[in-house]
Amino acid sequence: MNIKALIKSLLHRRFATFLLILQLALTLGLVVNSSIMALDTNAQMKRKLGFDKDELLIVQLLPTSGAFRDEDFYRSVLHQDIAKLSALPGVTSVSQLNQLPIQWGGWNGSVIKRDEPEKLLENRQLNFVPYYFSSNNIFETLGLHLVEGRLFDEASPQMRDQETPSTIITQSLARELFGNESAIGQEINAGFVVGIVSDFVTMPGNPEEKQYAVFYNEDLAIPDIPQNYLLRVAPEKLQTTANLLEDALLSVHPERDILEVFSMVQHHQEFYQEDNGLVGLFTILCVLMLIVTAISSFAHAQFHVFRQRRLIGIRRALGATRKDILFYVMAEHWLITLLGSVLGVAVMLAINIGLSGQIDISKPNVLLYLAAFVIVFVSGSLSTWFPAWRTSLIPPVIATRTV
Amino acid sequence: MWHYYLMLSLRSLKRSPTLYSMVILTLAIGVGALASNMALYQSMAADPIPEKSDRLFHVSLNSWPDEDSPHQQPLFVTRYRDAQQVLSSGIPTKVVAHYQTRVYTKSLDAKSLTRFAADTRATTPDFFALTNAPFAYGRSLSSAEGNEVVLGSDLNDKIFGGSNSVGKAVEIEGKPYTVVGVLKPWTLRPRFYHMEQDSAFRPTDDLFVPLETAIDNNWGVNGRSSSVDYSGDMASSRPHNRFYLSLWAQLDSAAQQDSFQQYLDNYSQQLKDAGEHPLAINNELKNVHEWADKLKVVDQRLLAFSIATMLFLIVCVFNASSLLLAKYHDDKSEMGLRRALGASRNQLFRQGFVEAMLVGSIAGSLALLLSWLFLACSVVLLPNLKAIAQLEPAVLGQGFAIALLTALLSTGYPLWRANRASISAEMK
Amino acid sequence: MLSMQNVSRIYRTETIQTHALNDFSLSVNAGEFVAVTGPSGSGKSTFLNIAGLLDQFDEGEYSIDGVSVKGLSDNQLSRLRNEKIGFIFQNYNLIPDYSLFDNVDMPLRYRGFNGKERKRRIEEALEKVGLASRMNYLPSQLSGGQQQRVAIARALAGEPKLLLADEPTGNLDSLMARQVMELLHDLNKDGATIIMVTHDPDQARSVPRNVQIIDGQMTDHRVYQPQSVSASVESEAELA
Repeated sequence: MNIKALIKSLLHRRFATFLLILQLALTLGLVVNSSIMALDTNAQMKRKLGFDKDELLIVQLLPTSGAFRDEDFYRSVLHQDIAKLSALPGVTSVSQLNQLPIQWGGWNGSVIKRDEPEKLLENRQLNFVPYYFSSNNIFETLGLHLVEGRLFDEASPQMRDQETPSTIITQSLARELFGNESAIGQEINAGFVVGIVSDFVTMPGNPEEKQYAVFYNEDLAIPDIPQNYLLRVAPEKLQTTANLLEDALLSVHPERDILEVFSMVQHHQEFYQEDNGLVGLFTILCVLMLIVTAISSFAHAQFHVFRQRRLIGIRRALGATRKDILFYVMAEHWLITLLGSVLGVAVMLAINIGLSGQIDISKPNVLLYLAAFVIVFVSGSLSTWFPAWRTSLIPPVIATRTV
Repeated sequence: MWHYYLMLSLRSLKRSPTLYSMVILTLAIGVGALASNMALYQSMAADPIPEKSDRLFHVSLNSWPDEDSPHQQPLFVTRYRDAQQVLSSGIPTKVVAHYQTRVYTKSLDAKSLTRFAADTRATTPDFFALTNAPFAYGRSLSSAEGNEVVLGSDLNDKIFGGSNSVGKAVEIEGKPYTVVGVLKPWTLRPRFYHMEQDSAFRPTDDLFVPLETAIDNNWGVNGRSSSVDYSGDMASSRPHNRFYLSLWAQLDSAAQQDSFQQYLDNYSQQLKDAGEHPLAINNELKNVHEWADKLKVVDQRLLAFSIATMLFLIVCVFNASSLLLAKYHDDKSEMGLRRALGASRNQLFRQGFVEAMLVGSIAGSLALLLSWLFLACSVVLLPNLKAIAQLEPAVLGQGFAIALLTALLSTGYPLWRANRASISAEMK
Repeated sequence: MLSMQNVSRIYRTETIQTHALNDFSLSVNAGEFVAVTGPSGSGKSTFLNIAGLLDQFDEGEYSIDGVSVKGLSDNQLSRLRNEKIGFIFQNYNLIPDYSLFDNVDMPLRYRGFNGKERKRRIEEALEKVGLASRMNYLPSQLSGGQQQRVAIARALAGEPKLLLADEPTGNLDSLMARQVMELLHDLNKDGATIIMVTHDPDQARSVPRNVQIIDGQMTDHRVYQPQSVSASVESEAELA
């Protein structure tokens, strides 16, 4: 067995060999990049949210009657809703909230110190800080903890009743605006900062250190915007409570459209549904590609090597054992896989660059490459083994036949 | 002669069933994956109004009054007074200002309290003529004011059981509105008049109401609404810097476009001269295609996947080609014999061509089935694609053509090589 | 019928060039039966390949049935092969999964005959070789001699001017070989022009005209008195 003879025999049918090498390289490149996407999405989903995702239930609703245009009426219903929902078994806290964490876009505004408007041009995220209008107990419901200052309570005035409203901001926003200085008692364009709470994921598209948010104590009653009620429920009661919500709310006032009832876990998953879906599509494609490449490896051994029956017969006649022949065919495949893997590095990088033009995708790393190599190597070897074994059964007598 | 070639091809397929089923399967999988992707891509990139997509323009005005603006480009929404200015220019053939809202409505006579959610277009009356909205009954709105409404087909089904409801009344927030028109089922893919913020593949609206009426009633904006200094209600927002209206204009000639652009720029300049905004004059007219491109209506994820499916198809062609290389190698002696008995190279090429077509046709038919399957998978994985996952006949045709092409490509080199071999060497 | 004037065929490799045929001239008239003999590597096969338009030649003139083949396109050469030449190979070259009918049919297809005409010719040709009753058999269901007779039928079906036979009995036992030779002699009597390459001197002797090729040149050119076929058969029988 020498490598020169192997290479010679590969060169003898270079077109087929070249195609197989290219296929292996492409497969490797695709498998690596699909894995990167899957890992990226997984890492995104595993990212710490900063609030208690598992205990939250959300119900979204819209009033269907013009009566809710009367703010006072709407508010009285809102308060009844919250009282009704709070009384449900297993519910520990209920808040209304104008928008949910973990979303794109939403109800956003700029946040700056009055004397530093130029910061808006430096830090894009400061222009789109989510404004949360919520019940005073929202921090308890979400599970955000106080870093400095105070939280809202029953006694806190509503935002609409204040000349300059009190606001609670997240830690990263406070740091961005005031650095090491304390933000408490400071005035910003959004109001007086009275408290600082821990960061939580508002817009997952933004970097971790820029999860800005502004909170107001305001029981918002605008009939054109879906109202969110957030319920903190013991996780084991989540499902049973969810089933009670529609009836409970309609019993307070029937002229409402219950748009959706879902858990924060579902909301979180739904946010990443597209990314996960894409990963799913790529996974399907990877599996198909591996199948096709396995067929190729099989075919290469089956049709191209089998065609050399006479040569192999001669080898056998000259004393090669079955094992030698088996190894010969396998070695040929391994050499091809090796060449494919070398080319695969280039293909992998090219696909990565191509994809990064369309979506966010991390750079490949050695470990993933090796893992993909093992997959391609194993699937290729398995599909080559059967024809290789059949080739090894070629009797030496073939050598002396003429055709 | 062609039927002889066809017969030979069938025999050839029967002779190596394993090999050919591998060839056909790989090509079918590759083409199927690509075709399903093409189906998605084409319905995303489709022209929703081919008769005048190049004459309908989205209007973006740069009039944001704040210098510290994060908006490098003009906003895609306009404030009320700018819109009024544009509506009154008299230059476009048709011009529309609209926004989306949502109301709950029922038949005025209905006893039940149940109201139906209606995605509602608050619009000036040119909307219907500009978008070529298809009427089943009645007519379009006569003015931007008043208590007239036009119903979409679905909502008319829900409220009036699909009957001609022109002249009847619906109730919204306690007030009656007269139905003056009902649309036929209307699918726009993409919904060009409102594609912003990933809403290009939402259905057309359920209800169409006069713009001023919606504003008067404080029907909120279901879409982008940006304000500089205002947080009051809709009804009193008219003079304020609240940006929420979409503007569309039909401009039938280049001259019309030029003078309209000139008009917008003059208006912007006047505002700037009056100190109302500090920005450069930057007003954009984008036709349906340009606007869709700018908004990236074609899902970027899908484009990413397209790259992968194309690579995959290439791999499949390589695979098929490699298999066929083995097959044609084995056929060399028969080809030599045929040459010896008087078949010309051309005849053998034609024979190979017919065989490729046969393989391609089988692979193509299978690919169409698979593309349907892949499409179903895509919709399960990406539910947002549901509205656009359609296998149009054109895509099926293209998929089939691609299958034929890939079969030809994979046959090409092996056939050429087998045919190149000298006859005398093969006849030993 | 066939005329080669100073034909040379040179095979070149990087280091050497070999004259497979060197200044070779031969003329065969219509109705002749010529046996070509010579040691292996002498150029017999090259001669046959050039005669059968399967291979190119480098120098000289070659015309068949009055048509000079120099500079003809592949299409024209194929046409000539199809219309004027019938091949008989040592290993028959039948397509194993085609019936006898389909095997004989093959050259007729490329000729462009209609179905009726093809059927007539196939039946006639198979009749001539005595296998008409088995036209739906597969080659594997026949003996070697029968297979070669099918190959002969395939060569005859196109009614060629010239039959080229390359060791037609090389794979057959003597009895079968005799039958095939009888068939060729009969065909010759009926007017067919036949050129047969053989390494068997006895077989060559049974043929009216013998040509020997050695080192790419015709070194011997003897014309025997026509012998009776039965005599040759007897001599072979004695050998057996």
